[in-house]
Amino acid sequence: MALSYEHIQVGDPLPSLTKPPITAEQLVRYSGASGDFNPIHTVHQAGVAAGHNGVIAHGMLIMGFVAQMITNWVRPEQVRRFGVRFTGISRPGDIITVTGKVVEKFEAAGEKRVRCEVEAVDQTGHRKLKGEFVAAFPAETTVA
Amino acid sequence: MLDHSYIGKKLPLIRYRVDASKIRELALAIGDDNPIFHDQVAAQAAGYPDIVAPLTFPTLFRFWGGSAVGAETRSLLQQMGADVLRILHGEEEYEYFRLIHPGDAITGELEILGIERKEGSSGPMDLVKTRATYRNQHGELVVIARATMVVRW
Repeated sequence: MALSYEHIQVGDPLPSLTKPPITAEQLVRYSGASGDFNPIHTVHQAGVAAGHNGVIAHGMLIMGFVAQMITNWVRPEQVRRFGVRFTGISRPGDIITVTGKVVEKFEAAGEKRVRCEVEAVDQTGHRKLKGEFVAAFPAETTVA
Repeated sequence: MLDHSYIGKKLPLIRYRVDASKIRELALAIGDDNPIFHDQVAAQAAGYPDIVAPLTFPTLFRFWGGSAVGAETRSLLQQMGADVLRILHGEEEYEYFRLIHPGDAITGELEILGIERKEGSSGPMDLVKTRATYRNQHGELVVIARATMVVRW
């Protein structure tokens, strides 16, 4: 569905994304992909020693889920800025849902831009991160 | 106590050559099936010269682009005195200037901007603010990554 800047309204929700449950295998895979081999993500005893009762997900994996939601909505080259603050730990079995909404429309550097707030929560509503991104909409650009 | 002499210190350059299989591997690990991250033909059909790196791809630069003496943030924090099991990621922010494609040769300058001591519910912690500025083989600014790492004691 094509959507133009003019049709985007402050307060509009972004299409949400619910991911399959995080698995321990996924954390092994993400460690290899990202190069973050901190054992708290892959070795049960290390997670216990760190006080987490087991392995925990990489924060960057959850940020990657949010990135997926963003680039389901706009093309990567439209994104000017994307930042998050990690507020909770995720574990295997957690089902993460990413939501967002448009909070501002403005012009900067000769571009029409939107600022959106995003957050990721698990199946119990516990928040994992909160953040925002800015996307630019050059004239005639539509969202995917 | 972290070694504060690292604040503002010139650190080894991060060097990373972008490879299509690493882009695809990251997208697979995230479970992001957007074809522009996986398939050159689909990416070209969408108007790109080649597949595109996902938004969080610059995290690989720190982890895979470190030198033997440790440009990568975590080994750096270990050198500064942190226990690897007690490091958490507090914040991450990317400012994007150019897309990243296979073949890009990235160099990055990592800086420790500052260390702030906080009293948490489970004891003291240090918030370590870092900034990494990444350029491509043409010297063009690609992305600036700002992070806050939390070191618990």
